[in-house]
Amino acid sequence: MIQVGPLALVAVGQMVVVLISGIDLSVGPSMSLITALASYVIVGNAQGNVAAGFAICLIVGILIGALNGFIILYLRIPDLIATLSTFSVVTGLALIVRPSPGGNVSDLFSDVITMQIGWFPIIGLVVILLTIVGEILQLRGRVGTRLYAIGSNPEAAFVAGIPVGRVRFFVYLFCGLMAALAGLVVAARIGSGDPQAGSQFTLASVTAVVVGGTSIFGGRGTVVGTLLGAILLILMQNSLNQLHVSAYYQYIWTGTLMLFAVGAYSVYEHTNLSAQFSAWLQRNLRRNREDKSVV
Amino acid sequence: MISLARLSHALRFVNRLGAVWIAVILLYLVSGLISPGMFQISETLNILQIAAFLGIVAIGQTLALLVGGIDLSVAGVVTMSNIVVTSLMVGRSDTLVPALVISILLAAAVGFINGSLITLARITPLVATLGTNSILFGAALVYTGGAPHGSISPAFAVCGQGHIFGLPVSTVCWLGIGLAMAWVTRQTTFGRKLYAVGANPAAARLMGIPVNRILISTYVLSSVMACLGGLLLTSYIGLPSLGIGDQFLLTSVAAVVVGGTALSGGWGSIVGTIGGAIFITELNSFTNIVRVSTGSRFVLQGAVIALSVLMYHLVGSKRTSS
Repeated sequence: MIQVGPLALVAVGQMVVVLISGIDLSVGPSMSLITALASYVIVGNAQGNVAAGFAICLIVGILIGALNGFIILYLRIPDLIATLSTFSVVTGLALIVRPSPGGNVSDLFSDVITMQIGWFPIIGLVVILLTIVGEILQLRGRVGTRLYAIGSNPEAAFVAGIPVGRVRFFVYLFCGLMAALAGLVVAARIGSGDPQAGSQFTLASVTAVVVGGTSIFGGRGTVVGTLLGAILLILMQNSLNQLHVSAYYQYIWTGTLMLFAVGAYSVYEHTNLSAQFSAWLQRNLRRNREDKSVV
Repeated sequence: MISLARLSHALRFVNRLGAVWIAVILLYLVSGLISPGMFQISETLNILQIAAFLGIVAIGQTLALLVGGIDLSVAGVVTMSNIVVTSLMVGRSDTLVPALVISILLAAAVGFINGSLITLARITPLVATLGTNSILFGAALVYTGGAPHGSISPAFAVCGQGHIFGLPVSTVCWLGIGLAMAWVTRQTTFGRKLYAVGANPAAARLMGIPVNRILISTYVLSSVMACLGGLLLTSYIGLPSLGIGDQFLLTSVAAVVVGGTALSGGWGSIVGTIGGAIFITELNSFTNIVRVSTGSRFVLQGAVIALSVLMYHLVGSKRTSS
């Protein structure tokens, strides 16, 4: 469950962005930057210090989200290139803060984060709580309705009175916050700052989101689904480890899984396979006749 | 009326082609002011030699962006070509041609897969090529077991390291490929169809252009270009390296964007990308001169990407409003 923590957190953030048909490629470097930052500001065992450091990291995460939002909304740069450039900038910042893994995150902090009640870790509780709250907001609340609306049809949502720009900005803020939380969990686990800590999480978060049933085109998806997607991903990684499959296969596996999930959903959504197949049959069986229409 | 429209269109065209060259020259002058050694011919040739690798990969990326997509798998393809070629050549001369052919064929296959994922499975280019990139990286890891070995045939080294008529061979290859692709995109029907698909796929389809075929061919070309760039880089370095393609992921997009190609497709030029590649290489050399850390270089690259898109957007809309 502890393993799922970071991935689940960042995947939920990513899901909200994908719901409005965007994407946030900077979550990986954000996590790395937060671990690097944590190794500086969350040191020592004084409770006040730790709490302040914790808050600082969260604020930085929100700032990164704000940067994304600013570039995408005010500079009108498409989210693909915008988050690609934030990806680069945040990677650079992480390297500047911590050129190589090191530092020592406060033990108090690590213990608190990885604390367990009986056999169930606190992180698990947080994730489940987040999922419940998120699900309620999504399915019952205005928040969810707005997100789905913007994702399905931004123009219609705008005409319907939804403040599309503001919502999108907050979505990127939220994603940055989630990335920061995930980064803090990772920092607690590894106990130091690592500028490469989050590099796998960019792709993994998108995979978890997509496997969990969120459409990459926006407008469809649930928090529970994303959580299950994250759990599934971690389970598969673990089972591959148990089977003594080389860790190198993980990259192939994550990529293939994501492509498969997106492709399957895409094909399901966009085509009517049986009708297409029979149409193809008809076209090709008619090839010998003269009245074949020009395609 | 007609001559005014033509004039503004021509101005826009020249502006698109020209703005990046102004930046190239400016940066060259600034670097030279800080370190006069830059003005020496040997230094300039060195920059052109290094820029060739990025340049060829960026040509492929230009094509992908021109059709309104993106190819984030170039990093994986460069790494793949590097690993495949060094592991197949293993320093022998008789394996030179087969190794090259195999790596180009593999890259074409990757491009075909990319194109199919994007057209048939309707996956967005970003997600599709990101997934392929991950798979390629994993495949390289699995193939080499984490410890790549091998080396290039001695005869192959001349491509990346040699000089011909005083110019580096890699630069000559790059400019040759660049001019050839510029001719293809501007003077052939394939090129016109490419631009049409990028500008408005729905309209292109209605006009009878085989959109799927164009898209797949574009991604095949993009991967082949990335492979050629990787081959040239391999001939320069001579050894395998698992992380060798990673630098091209962001820089190829940066070079294309700085060169003036629009992100939405249908607007841009190969020649502009050539300038963009030189600019990015100059920028890297500049950061080396001023002793900036690796981290700051990433920050700079990211800022350059965002700023270029912003500036071209502003210039573009100013022109249309006048």
